Amino acid sequence: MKLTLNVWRQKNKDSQGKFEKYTIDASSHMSFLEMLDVVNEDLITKGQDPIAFDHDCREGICGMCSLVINGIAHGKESGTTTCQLHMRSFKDGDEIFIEPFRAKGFPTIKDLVVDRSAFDRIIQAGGYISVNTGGCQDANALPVSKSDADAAFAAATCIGCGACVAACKNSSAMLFVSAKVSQLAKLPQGQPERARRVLNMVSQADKEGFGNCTNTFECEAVCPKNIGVENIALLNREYLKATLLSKEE
Amino acid sequence: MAWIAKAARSSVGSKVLMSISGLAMVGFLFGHLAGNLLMFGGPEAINTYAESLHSMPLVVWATRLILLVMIVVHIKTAKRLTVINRQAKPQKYAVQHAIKTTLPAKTMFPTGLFLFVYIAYHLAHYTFKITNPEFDKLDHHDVYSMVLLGFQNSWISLFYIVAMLCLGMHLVHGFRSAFQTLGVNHPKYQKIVTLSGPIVAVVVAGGFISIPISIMAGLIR
Amino acid sequence: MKLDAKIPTGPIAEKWTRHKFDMKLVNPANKRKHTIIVVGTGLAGSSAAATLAELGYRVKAFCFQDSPRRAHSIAAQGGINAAKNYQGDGDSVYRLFYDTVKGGDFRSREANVHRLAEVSANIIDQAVAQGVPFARDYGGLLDNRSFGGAQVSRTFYARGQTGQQLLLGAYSALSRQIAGGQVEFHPRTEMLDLVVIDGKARGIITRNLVTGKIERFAADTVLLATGGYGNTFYLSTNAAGCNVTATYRAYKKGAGFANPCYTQIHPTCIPVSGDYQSKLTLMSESLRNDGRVWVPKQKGDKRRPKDIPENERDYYLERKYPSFGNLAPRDIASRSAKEACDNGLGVGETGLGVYLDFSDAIKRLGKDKVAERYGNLFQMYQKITDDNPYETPMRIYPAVHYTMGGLWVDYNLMSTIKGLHVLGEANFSDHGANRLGASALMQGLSDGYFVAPATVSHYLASEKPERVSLDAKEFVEAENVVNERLHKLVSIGGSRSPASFHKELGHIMWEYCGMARNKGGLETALQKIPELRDEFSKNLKVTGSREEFNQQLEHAGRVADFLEFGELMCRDALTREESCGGHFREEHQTEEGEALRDDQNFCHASVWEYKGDGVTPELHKEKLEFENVALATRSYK
Ligand SMILES: Cc1cc2nc3c(=O)[nH]c(=O)nc-3n(C[C@H](O)[C@H](O)[C@H](O)COP(=O)(O)OP(=O)(O)OC[C@H]3O[C@@H](n4cnc5c(N)ncnc54)[C@H](O)[C@@H]3O)c2cc1C
Ligand code: HEM
Ligand code: HEM
Ligand code: SF4
Ligand code: F3S
Ligand code: FES
Repeated sequence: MKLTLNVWRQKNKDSQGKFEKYTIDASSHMSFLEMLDVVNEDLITKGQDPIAFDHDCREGICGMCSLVINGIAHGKESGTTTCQLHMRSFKDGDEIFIEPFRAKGFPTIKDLVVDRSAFDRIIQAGGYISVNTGGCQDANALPVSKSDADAAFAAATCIGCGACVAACKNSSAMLFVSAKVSQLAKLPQGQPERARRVLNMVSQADKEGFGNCTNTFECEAVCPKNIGVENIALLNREYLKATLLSKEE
Repeated sequence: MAWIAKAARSSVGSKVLMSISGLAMVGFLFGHLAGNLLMFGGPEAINTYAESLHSMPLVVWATRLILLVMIVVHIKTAKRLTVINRQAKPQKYAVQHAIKTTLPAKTMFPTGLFLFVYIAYHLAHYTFKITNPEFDKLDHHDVYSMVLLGFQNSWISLFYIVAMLCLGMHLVHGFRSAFQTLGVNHPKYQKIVTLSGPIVAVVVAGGFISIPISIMAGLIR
Repeated sequence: MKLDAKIPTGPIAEKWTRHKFDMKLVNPANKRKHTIIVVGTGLAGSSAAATLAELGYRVKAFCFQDSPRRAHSIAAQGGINAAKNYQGDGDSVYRLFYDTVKGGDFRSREANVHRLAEVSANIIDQAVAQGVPFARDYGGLLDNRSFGGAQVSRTFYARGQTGQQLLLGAYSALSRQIAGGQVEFHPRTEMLDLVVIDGKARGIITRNLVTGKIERFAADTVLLATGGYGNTFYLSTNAAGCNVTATYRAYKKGAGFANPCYTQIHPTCIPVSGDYQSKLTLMSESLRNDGRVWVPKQKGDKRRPKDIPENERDYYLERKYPSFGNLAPRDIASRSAKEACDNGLGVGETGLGVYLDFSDAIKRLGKDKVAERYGNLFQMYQKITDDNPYETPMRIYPAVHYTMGGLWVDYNLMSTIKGLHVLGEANFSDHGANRLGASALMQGLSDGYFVAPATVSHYLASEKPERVSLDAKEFVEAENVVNERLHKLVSIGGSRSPASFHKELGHIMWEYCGMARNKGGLETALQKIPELRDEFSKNLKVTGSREEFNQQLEHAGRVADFLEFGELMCRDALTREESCGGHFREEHQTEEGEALRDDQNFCHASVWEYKGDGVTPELHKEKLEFENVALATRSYK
């Protein structure tokens, strides 16, 4: 199938970017990133600078790939990362716009590559349970109800890709933050630091320049791991409780 | 008490202020709507109601005060949040494609702004009677005649109707959103919460709109 | 090169306990005076960096991705073994030890494996304390599943995302230390050389992948946890960035490389579909718990799988290995699939595939139960192939998955370079010639949480390394070498991309050093690889410059190392004149086509010493003693 691509090209963080047009003859079995590999191969043989984009596992788990494809973070297939998107979701003659994730908290590094280290700093602000290695009690000494364990797992599947931020009109990171808060709030291990965690993580997200959640729910629609906005409600609840009832400031 | 200020300025805290002030205004509007619907009961009904209200100055002033605070908080916070949110997305996408975001959700600030203009006009209209000084010439506090006269002008009615539609838009998203902000989201009740937005929007906006329409249609004379 | 494994004396079950007591400790006040470099923050690296920082050392950690959470460990699906015996089905430390030694086809070091089995239980406790949401049953206790090569259920899992959950656990521990300032973390930074001063590993040279800046870092000891080299084959289940650079650079600085030819070919991967393909996707081995593997009995049977009646199907694993059936170890399952396809029984367009069928499981357990166990894997399969595994069997084929070989380490995880410790998949330590499923996560975390923190302390306490200057001539020289290499790569100015060379190397490796190897093939490869390397040095095109974010340059550097390393793999495969585990030499098989080990001549680890470019490396041998598990022919019948 013949496709026209409009790809955002930007030399580095400080330069002004613009769209470049490329055409490609793709096979419908290719993955989207393999299609870009082919474009790059072609650019290199022509001596031109290939398109920079992040990727690693190429199976939807590392969270490294990104891209906004025709206005949708990770493309239009739901519950899918860009690397899992296949060309069979497109048809001959399609024109495709490929843009980087855009947010103040995610500065562009080059072309389609952005810096998502803000997410690491949010986790560093409290997305953990403070236990040192060794000296833990037997794993089965602490039963956790299956439904809580399952819910914690569902929230814990967040891959930190940042699509939620990319899709949110306010570039809010609340879905990401809430996934971690929710995972740890649902487990008995997470209780001692429950109040601190939510206050510190939200405060860090604010510092990183992410916007507010105005409950537009776009994040949930693009999240490749189907993390739901009920987690954001839980986060809000946790935040209120921590603010009003805990001794943390 | 620094914690209050800190919480109030945080993203989640600010949203809570939005939702509480918003809900308080909705609460007022329910009362206001109930009162206004007495228009259908004739002059006697609504004027007695208005008089009985005015006979309790404490209640009226307390309500006014709370309402004023809520409006100020709501507007100030809305402005701050909107600025932060626009800064957070410095560059828009060339292709915009929303999957779940609804038009009302996207336009909360413009609809809110229009509501602000509306409220200003509305107060000037009926409360301070600046736009229509002739209301002051009515012999007693005749709400019925005021409203009737007001809406016999179809431009004014039209403006009110547009404003009410705007209010509906604001509430379709806002009412339901306020619950999410306050952390109400549970699989067992979520259907009702989700539906509450449109229901409240239709009841409130529809209820208010029924008045100018009925007057223009001659149902209330 | 002297290979002293430093195995503690005493009965196997007491070695580690005794050794822990015998090892020296660093007093708390002195810990903060020691700097430790940890390269790689996958399971092994993150857990080690976090634990060492908790102990009070100053840690500098590095990874080439933008976050520790993206290390390749994140992709592990199936689970992690531990000898907890929660199911009461007869498991024990000794049984896990036994299974692992046997599974590794008697090519691992007994003492290391026993320690791994001992420590395994602590890993689960640690992970649970960190909030890792393992699967649980309704009583709230941890659930287990069974994995290949074992007859007990000892595998802990978190749906099909166990590696993710464990890595996020280790990442959270690391994040806590970064926040506390104990760990200085450098993402998007690639180690390009090791600095050895007075025979000891004292630092690294790195390239900042965003700015291109070359930097020097010094420390008292260096830990490499840089993962496996499966990507030598280009197509593998590994992430695109997995590479051999760090370990190969260390090899060139004098670290012995052990058993490079031991690669694991995983039996259940999605078959290749075209030559644009950039990676192969693993379908977790756990699928073999409930899925049944079969091919049509008749050659070239083009009927839809549903239309092939039961008696015309060959459930070959169940037939050949009745007691383990579909859960035969990986090497055996892979080879059987290859054999079926070589006999013309393969399915799918290319004929390189076999069926993995869930219809019986769905009948037996119901669709919901199956979905609960494998839902995300089924979904993943459907996304890639457009086939629905609830309705039609999956098509699978073996693919390169894991590398048992790695830098040689002694019992203390120290390589032949003093002060260079190697952890996780990057070392050769515990899996012998074949790794059992769910054991890599166990090994990475055992190395990182429990073994390295103890042995590294011991090293620092006994060596008391002096401070070194970043201006030492070794640092300057190493940096110059790195700069020259990079300069050379960008200035060749040919016309072929790094990826095209990588692909071509992959073809050679898969063809001649893949699932089945023979002398002639390996010799051909040893001829072709240098030719390709030559072409690489003349015709490579790297766009852009060194001083910027340049993914082509990153890839070119990694391919350059693969091009040298591939040769070492083939050389190792050629000298190992036996079949064992993942290494199958066609010359050495029984009449039934089973692997034929030669314990007389090859009961050793082959350790290669670098002797200079263009010079044949020298082979050293570490003899493997089996005092506890009797050397026997592996049988899964
Ligand atoms: C698809 C798949 C499924 C698997 N499933 C299972 C399973 O179910 N159970 C199981 O036990 N095992 C499984 N494995 C194997 C297991 O995941 C790996 O062996 C293990 O996670 C390796 O961990 P590691 O910490 O050694 O290395 P990795 O996780 O690969 O980490 C390597 C680290 O080194 C860094 N690095 C590499 N080179 C450099 C350099 N030059 N400079 C700086 N940093 C560098 C990387 O950035 C990364 O942080 C699976 C493997 C794959 C591929
Ligand atoms: C006067 C001018 C007004 C402005 C500028 C304004 C603006 C806003 C903005 C920007 C939001 C946040 C957007 C969002 O959450 O999606 C909001 C939310 C809301 N507004 Fe208004 N609004 C105004 C008036 C009103 C009025 C009159 C009402 C009620 C009658 C109201 C009810 C609400 C509610 C319930 C919310 C939801 C709060 C939440 O999501 O938590 N607003 N408004
Ligand atoms: C058809 C619709 C409406 C009618 C007929 C109406 C009528 C009136 C009248 C007659 C008054 C003066 C009452 C008095 O002084 O005794 C009043 C006050 C007021 N109205 Fe409305 N109103 C309508 C809709 C609204 C809406 C939608 C809002 C808010 C968004 C609103 C907000 C107010 C406020 C804030 C006051 C002042 C209350 C006070 O003085 O305490 N009204 N309205
Ligand atoms: S919540 Fe979803 S979209 Fe956001 S980072 Fe996590 S996985 Fe990505
Ligand atoms: S899209 Fe944005 S507004 Fe909230 S619900 Fe999601 S973070
Ligand atoms: S490349 Fe790993 S999630 Fe897409």
